[in-house]
Amino acid sequence: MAVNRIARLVLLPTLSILAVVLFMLAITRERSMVTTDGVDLDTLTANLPPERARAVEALRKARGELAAMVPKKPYIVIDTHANRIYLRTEDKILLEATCSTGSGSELVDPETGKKWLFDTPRGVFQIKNKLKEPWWRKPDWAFIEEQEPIPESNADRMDPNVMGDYAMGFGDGYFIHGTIYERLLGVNVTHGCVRLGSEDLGKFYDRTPIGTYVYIF
Amino acid sequence: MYIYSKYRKKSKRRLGRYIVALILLLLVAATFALVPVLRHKDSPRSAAVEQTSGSKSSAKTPPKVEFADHEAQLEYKLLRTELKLAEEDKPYFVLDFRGHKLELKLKGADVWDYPLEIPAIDSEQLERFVFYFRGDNGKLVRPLLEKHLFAAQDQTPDSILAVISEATKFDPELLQRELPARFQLHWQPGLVLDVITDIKGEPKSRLANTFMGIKHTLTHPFGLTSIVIHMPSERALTLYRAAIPGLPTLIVPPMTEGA
Repeated sequence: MAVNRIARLVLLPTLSILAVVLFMLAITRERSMVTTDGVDLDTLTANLPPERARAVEALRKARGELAAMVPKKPYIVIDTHANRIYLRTEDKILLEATCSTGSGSELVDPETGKKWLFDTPRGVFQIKNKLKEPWWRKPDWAFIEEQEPIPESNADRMDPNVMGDYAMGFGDGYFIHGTIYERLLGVNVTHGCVRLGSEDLGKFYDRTPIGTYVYIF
Repeated sequence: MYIYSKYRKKSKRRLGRYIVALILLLLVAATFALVPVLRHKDSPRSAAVEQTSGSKSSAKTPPKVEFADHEAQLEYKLLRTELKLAEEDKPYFVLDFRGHKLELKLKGADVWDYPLEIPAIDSEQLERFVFYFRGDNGKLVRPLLEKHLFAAQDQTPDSILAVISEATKFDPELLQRELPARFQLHWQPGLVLDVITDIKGEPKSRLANTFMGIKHTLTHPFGLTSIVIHMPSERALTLYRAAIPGLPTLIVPPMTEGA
C-alpha cells in the first residue's frame, strides 16, 4: 500500500517531468549538430585596420577579390533540381530552357561487378569544345544496359543519330547536346550529359564560345 | 473481499504499466538526447564553424569609405565571409535583405535568385529574424539545420513516369520531382523561412507535420521567429531541393544594422 502511494505521488510525477525535460533537450540539442562544411570561424575578427588609408585599401581589395570570382562574360547555369538551363550574367538572364540532367541511377556490370553512377557532375566547368553533327561513341555501359555484347570494333560503337545537331563538351566526356527524346525534357533521365531540345540547343550553341563557364548545381 | 483484492490487483497492474511506459519513454528520450551528442563528438567537423560571408551587393556598393563606420566594418566582414564561402565547390544561400533578394551562389556567382518583397514582410518580424540569426556573437553565417516539406504536388503523373521508366529502365522514384506547395527552412529552433507557393498540394506526412507543430509549440511556446515568402512552385522547387541540411547561409542585414 505504501509502495503504491510512493509510486503514485513521487515516482510518476518525477519520471514524467524527467521524460518531458529529456524530450525537450533532445529536440533542442539536435539543432547544434549541423555545421557549415569547411568554413572557418575567423571572419568575425576580420576587422578593417584602424588607419583610414589601410582600411580603404583593405575594403577595395576584398571587393576586388569577390568581383574577380564572377565571370565577366555570360555564363551557363544548369539547375539539376528543376532541369533548367540558363545563359546569364550577374544581373540578367539571356536565354533559358528546359533540359534533362542525370538520373542518379546506378548500373552494375553483372560480369565484372563494375559500377557506373549516372549523374551530372556539380561544380564549375568550362566549355572545352564545340561540335556540329556529333556522333556518339557508345561506351561499354550503353551495351551492358541494353544487354548486348560489347563490340570489338570502334565503328560498331558509333551512333550518328542520338546527339542532335550540336554538342558542347565541358570535360570528362560530359556534353550539352540534343536528343531524339524531346518529350522527356524536364525529367532526370540522362546518363550524366545535359540534353536540350533542338531549337534551344541551336540558340545556346550560337551564343556560347569555347571557354564559357558552366555552373552546375 | 475477493472483488476488492481483484480490483487492487488490477489497479497495481495498471500502475505498473504506467511506470513501464514512462521508463520506456524516458529511455527513448534519453537515447534521442544522447545520440546527437555522441555523433557530435565523433564528427571531425564538429569543431568547424558557423561563420563567414560576403555579398554581391556589398561588392558593388559605396566607393566612399569611413573605416570607423559600422557600415564599412560590416561590409568588410560580409566580403571576407563570402570570399571564404566562395572558396568551396558547393553552393551557398544568401538572405540578402539589403539587395532585397534570396540567392543561391556558387563560387561567388549567382546561380538562382528570387526577389524579396520587403514591404510584404512584417518589419518587426524581419528585425527579429535578423537579430536571432546573428545572435549574441553577430554571426553572419549559419548552416541550414533542417527543412520540412508540409505539402507537395507530383510534377509528373504516375502513368507518364511508368512509360518513361520502362523506356529508360530508370527507377520512377529517381525521376519524380515533387513541386512543393509549402515548406520551411530552419536555421535554429524557431528561426524559420516559411515558403508558400502558388499550388495546392497534398500533405507529405500528416504525422510529420503534427510532430513539427508539437516541436514548435514545445520549444517556442510564444511563437516562431519566421519570415513568410510566396513564390511560384517552379522557383521554389530549386530552393527546396538545393536546401540540404548544412547548406551555409549568409545573411546580409538591412542597411540600419550595425557591424
